[in-house]
Amino acid sequence: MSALVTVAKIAAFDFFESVRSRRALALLVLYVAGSIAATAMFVKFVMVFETTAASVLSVGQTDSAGAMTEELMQTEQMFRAFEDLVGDSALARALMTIPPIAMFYGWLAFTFIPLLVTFTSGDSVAAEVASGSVRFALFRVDRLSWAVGKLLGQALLMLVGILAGAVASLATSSLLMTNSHVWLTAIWLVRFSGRAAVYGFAYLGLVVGCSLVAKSLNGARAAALIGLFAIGVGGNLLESEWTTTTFPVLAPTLSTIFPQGHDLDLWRVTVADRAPGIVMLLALGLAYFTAGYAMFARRDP
Amino acid sequence: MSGPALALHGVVKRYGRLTALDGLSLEVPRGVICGMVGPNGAGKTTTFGIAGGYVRANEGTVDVLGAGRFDPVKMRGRLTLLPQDCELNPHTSVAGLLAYYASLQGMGRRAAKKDAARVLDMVELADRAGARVKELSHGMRRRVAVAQAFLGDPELVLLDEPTNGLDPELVVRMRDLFRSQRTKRTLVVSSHNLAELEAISDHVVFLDAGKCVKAGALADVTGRATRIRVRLEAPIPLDGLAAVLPGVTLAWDGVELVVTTESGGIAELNARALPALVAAGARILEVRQGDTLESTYLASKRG
Repeated sequence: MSALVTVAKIAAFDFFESVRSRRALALLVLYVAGSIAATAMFVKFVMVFETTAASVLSVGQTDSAGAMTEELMQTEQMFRAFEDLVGDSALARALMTIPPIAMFYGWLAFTFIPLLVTFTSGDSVAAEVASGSVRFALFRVDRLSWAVGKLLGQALLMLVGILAGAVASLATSSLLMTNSHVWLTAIWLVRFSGRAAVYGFAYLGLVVGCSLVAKSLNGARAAALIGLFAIGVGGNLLESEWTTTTFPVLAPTLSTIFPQGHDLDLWRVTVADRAPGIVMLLALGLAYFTAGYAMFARRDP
Repeated sequence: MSGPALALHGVVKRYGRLTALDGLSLEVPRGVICGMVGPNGAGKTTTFGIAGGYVRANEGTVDVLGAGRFDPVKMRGRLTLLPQDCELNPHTSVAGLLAYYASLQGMGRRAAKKDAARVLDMVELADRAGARVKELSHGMRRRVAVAQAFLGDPELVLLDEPTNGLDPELVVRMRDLFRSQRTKRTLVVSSHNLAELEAISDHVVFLDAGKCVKAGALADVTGRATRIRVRLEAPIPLDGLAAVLPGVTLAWDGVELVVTTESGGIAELNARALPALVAAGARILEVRQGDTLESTYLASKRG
């Protein structure tokens, strides 16, 4: 039996064991419910925006939200607004081809996935060490296969959560607003789900790494939250205007070891443009995980 | 295959300032049921962990089945283990969990399912195969934990307090199960229930403060091969008996007469000593072969 097969078996078991646990399921349901609520709020915002625009422009109001936005997305004014926002005309032009609801869900997933993985996976290893169930596995497989299997099982759980959120977002938007490009939206939702999963993997590596280090359940949960907080504060601090102007070389360099330093890359349209970000985020996730594993490998579970 | 199933030499294990194993050396021959005895904190669980490969020794050498330190990849399925006080994954079905463990030992999907059913049948839980682990009682979970140790065809099975928390009827069934494995594999069983260990073991190891204080075949350790204990209605003088029983030592321990032969077997000793005792006027109430494991253990503790 190859190590890959072993890892796949552990990952599959871990995924289904997590899904069967009420906590992970409740968190996924919460995330999906959040996606529905956020999408509904976004649709409402679009509706208010269109009503206001129709009033200002003295034109007839559309029956449902979205019709005017689809038109607006094709205007030069919108392009300039996007260009000002991202500071990159090629990226701005590319963003205009993405259905608004997909773009919104992308933002939503990028924002909340770190929190979701912290709560679903923050104690995934520590729980097994604390209960002792890890000991039933560690005389059957090597530690590295077990730990990598756990990481991939949790990654699968995260991916399922993101995709479920995307489906919920698509269904909600289809019910509440005009969307003449449902398939295009669905395709973009899948694309953004994949990108959110790559982004989330960096955080997953962090929280599973913390779980590998911690010696208790509460310790693992606390370490994951502290890690998330530190990454959040550190990454944003390094990207702040004051830091980048005061430390023009150091800040961007240090920023590369934080996930936020690469999230903009994931919004780019071509694979070649996205590749550096994808590689760095996956590498960061693996690096955080490896740091945790280095300690796990040396201690007695 | 020759050599011991498990051999530890000079093994030291420290947890911070606490020394759990202090130069432990022991050998468990192949094909025996070995009872491991010791007070809490003697190092039994640590010894199992080191033998199972998931606890690292600070010093010393470990040899499992003649292949050196246990490697779960190279020696997959050759050693299995029932860890002490460990909970099984709670959300999966009993059969699913056992099939998963079997698959980690290298079995294909169909073989793993079949083997899971076999070991469940072995611990009389076939009717609970579809239940989730968390739905089982403590005793049932313990039986599932025991069952997982018999997945596949392991050469060495380490059972750390396997009957802990089981009711007396289940203890008897487990004992029968362990006995049924005698000719198939080596079992190392730790327990605080010495009568239970005595009933199944043919080799014993006494641990204390991280060291092996006594080890050997049960018959040798308890003196069953050379000694009988005779309970009399009243003490009798031993002076005259020594003359008619050459090669036999007689000693009064305050409660029983201890009769030890220097050569020959127990049957021969009985044939010679008991008629001589009756002829000397002794009224015999009970004759036992050797000492109990408990009394031997307590004697070893007293030094």
